[in-house]
Amino acid sequence: MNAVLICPGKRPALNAVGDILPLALLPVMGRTLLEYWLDYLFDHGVRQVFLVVTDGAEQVRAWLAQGTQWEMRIDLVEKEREPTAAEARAEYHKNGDTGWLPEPGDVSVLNCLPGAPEYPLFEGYAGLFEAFKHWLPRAATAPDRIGLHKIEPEIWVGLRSHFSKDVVIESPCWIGEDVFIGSGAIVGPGAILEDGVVISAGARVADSFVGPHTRVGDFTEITRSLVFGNCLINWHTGSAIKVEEEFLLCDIQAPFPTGYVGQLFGGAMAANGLRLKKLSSFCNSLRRPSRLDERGFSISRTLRSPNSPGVP
Amino acid sequence: MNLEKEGDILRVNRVKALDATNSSEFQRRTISELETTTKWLEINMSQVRHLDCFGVGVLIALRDLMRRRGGELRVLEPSPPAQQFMELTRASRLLKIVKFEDAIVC
Repeated sequence: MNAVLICPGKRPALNAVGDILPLALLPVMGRTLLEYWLDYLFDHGVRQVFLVVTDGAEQVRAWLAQGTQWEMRIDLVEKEREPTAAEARAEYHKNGDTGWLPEPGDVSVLNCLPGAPEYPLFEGYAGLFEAFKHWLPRAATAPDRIGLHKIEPEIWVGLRSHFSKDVVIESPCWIGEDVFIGSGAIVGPGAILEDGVVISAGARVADSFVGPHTRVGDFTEITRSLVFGNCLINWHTGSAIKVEEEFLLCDIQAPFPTGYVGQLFGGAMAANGLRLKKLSSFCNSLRRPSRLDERGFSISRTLRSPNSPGVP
Repeated sequence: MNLEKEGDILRVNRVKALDATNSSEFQRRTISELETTTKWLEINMSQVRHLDCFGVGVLIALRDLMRRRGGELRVLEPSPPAQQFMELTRASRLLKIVKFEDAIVC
C-alpha cells in the first residue's frame, strides 16, 4: 500500500527548535518523529511512502541513508511550499488509484505523534512538552525497544546509562541510552533525557526535555525547559536563549571552533580523561558503602502521578 | 544605562545588556555613584536582552558590597532571557528579585 507523509516546514511557534533541526527529525525518546511515523505506516501495511519535505531536505535525506532497513520504498520529494493534505492527495492519490491507505490515513502531516492528534506538537513549546510527556508510556512499551529498563513505576532507563552513587531520580522520568548522571544530581520529576546526555555533578533537571548529546554543566538548574545543545527554551514563557558558556550547557558533538587551541591538546586531554576515569573508579571502590539504594542511586517516591500502581 | 538617586536609594535603569562587553564598566559606574548613605541599590533588568556569567558575577559582587554596607541589592523584574539565565546558574536563588510594584521607587 502507498501513503504520503508531509514533513512540517517552519513553524513560527517553534522557531528556536526549527532553526536547530528540521522538525521531522525532532528527537522523541531515542527516535525521531519521522521514524515513529514510518514505523506506524509500516505496521499498517504501507510499503511505499512519498515523503514531502520543505525544510532541511538534505538532513532528512542523510538521515534516511543512515543504514536503517525500512523494508519499504521511500521517495523523497522536495517542495518549495508545504502542501496541504488535500493538495497532496490531489497530486499523488488520484481517484481510482488502488493500493492506498483509506482516507484520511493516505496523507499524514507530521504535526503530531502517530495516533495522538489531541497533542499537537508545533503550536507552542508548552504543547510540545505536554505531547512528549503524554508519549512517554507509549514510547516505553513499544515492542522493539531493546534493553530499556523500567526500574521503578514511571522511571525508564536505556542501555549503557550510568548513575553516580548519590543521584536522586524522581518519577516520571525517561533516561535514554548512554546517559551519564554525575554525583549529587537530581533528575525529575518530569525529566526526559535523550540519548547521550551528560548531567554533571550537582545539576538539577525537572519538568524539562534535554536533547541528544547535550551536556548540562555542574550545578546548573534546568526547570520547565527544552534544551538542544546550548539552546535553552523555557516552554512556560516561550523565551529562548543561546548559552555561550560551554561549562553551563553545550552540545557534546559540536566541533571545536576553527583554530581552537584546545584542539592541539585534544589527544592529551582524551588520554588524561581515560586515566581520570580509571582513577575515579578506583576511588569509588575505596568508598564505604552508602546508605543509598543497592543499585547505586536513590529513587524518590514523593512525586508520582495519581494513576501509578500503589497510589490510592 | 541611567542612574538616578532618591534619598538612600540608587536605581539603575535602561540596562540593555550585562555581559563580558560591559559588565566591568557597569560595576565601576554603579560603585562610583554609591554614597555612604545609600541603603538600597535597585537594578531594573526588564530591558536586559543579554546576560552572561560576567553579568551574574557583577550582580553578586554588588549584592555582597551592599550587604557589607548594611544595605541591599534588588533586581527589578528581569526580562525572560535574563530570568532564564539566572535560573540556569541558580543566581535567582542568591539575588533578591522583585516585581515593579514591590520596588521602593516606582
